[in-house]
Amino acid sequence: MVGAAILAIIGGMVANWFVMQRRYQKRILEMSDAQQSIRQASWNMIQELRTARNLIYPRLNADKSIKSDTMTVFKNFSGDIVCYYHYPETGEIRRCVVPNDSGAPIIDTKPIATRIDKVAFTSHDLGNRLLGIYLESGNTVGLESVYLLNE
Amino acid sequence: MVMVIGLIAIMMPVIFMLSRIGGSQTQLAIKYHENLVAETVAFSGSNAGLSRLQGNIRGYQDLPDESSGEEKYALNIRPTGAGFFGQTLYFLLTNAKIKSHNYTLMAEAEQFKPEPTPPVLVISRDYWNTVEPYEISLMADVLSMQNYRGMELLRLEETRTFERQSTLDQYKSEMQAKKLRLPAEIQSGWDKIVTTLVDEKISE
Repeated sequence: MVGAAILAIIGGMVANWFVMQRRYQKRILEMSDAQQSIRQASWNMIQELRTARNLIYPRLNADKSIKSDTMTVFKNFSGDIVCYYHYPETGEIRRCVVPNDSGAPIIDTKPIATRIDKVAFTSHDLGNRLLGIYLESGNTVGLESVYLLNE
Repeated sequence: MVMVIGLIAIMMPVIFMLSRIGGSQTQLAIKYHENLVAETVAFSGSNAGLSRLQGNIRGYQDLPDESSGEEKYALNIRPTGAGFFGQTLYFLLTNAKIKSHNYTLMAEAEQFKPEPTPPVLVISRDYWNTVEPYEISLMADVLSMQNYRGMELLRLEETRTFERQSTLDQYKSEMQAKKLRLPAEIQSGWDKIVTTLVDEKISE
């Protein structure tokens, strides 16, 4: 009887420890997934934005205050117009290239980021070269900024 | 006792497996973090190159082991000729490598003559980036990068020519015509974007 009780206590402790481990692992997994999504999204966008030429949208408000939106539009290295926009239904950031001549717009079949709940692209300077990127995935947030190098 | 040992023997591999899964996901997040850091370090290396040119340091410069914080970058400044005003033209190349990830920035720079003392005027333009593992001190690799960059510059020339040769109305109607083929998320703000594009159109 005493042996059974000791066994039950030990079993309970071990089971409790197991449940705690599972909860902890789940939390770690969710956070690392979110961090990965945010880093991947930032990397994909900053790669192209760094060598872009001009930020078309968003731009500062008329009173010179900052402006944010869920999409951004800029001229890339080749002078074509590139749009990044958030698609809230699927949590994706998508990319669309609008040729800066007579061609038709091309929407990328693959999103450049997934599992992104909120996005805010913020214009920060009068010269239209500094863009802030706020990303939210689950309870994790990421904030990056990129300076457009080319004219 | 045997039951307890048996229970632990079953659970330990499960917990180990779960921790491994968490670990590999974290490694992926770290990988993208390293990518961004490599890019930032290369960018600071490029600024260091511009500072050298502004300080009137002239001619070929190969600095393969420079530091930016805890990370290293390589800097290569390669003269390519002289400009119309007697300024020296350069290819400015910077590379940062963190573990297996490479990031290279390539730009053109014009270094003017000191009048009368440094800092001298430096104009940098057409920055181009790649994550391919090029060796920036090797001429063959530099030529290869030049070719890739050149293709994109040719496209830039096409888009600029189109802007120059179109009238304001032609350019506006061409851009407006694309609206219906855009995703709904962009369509709502497209008119404002077209206004900005037309206002800033390149003219002859």
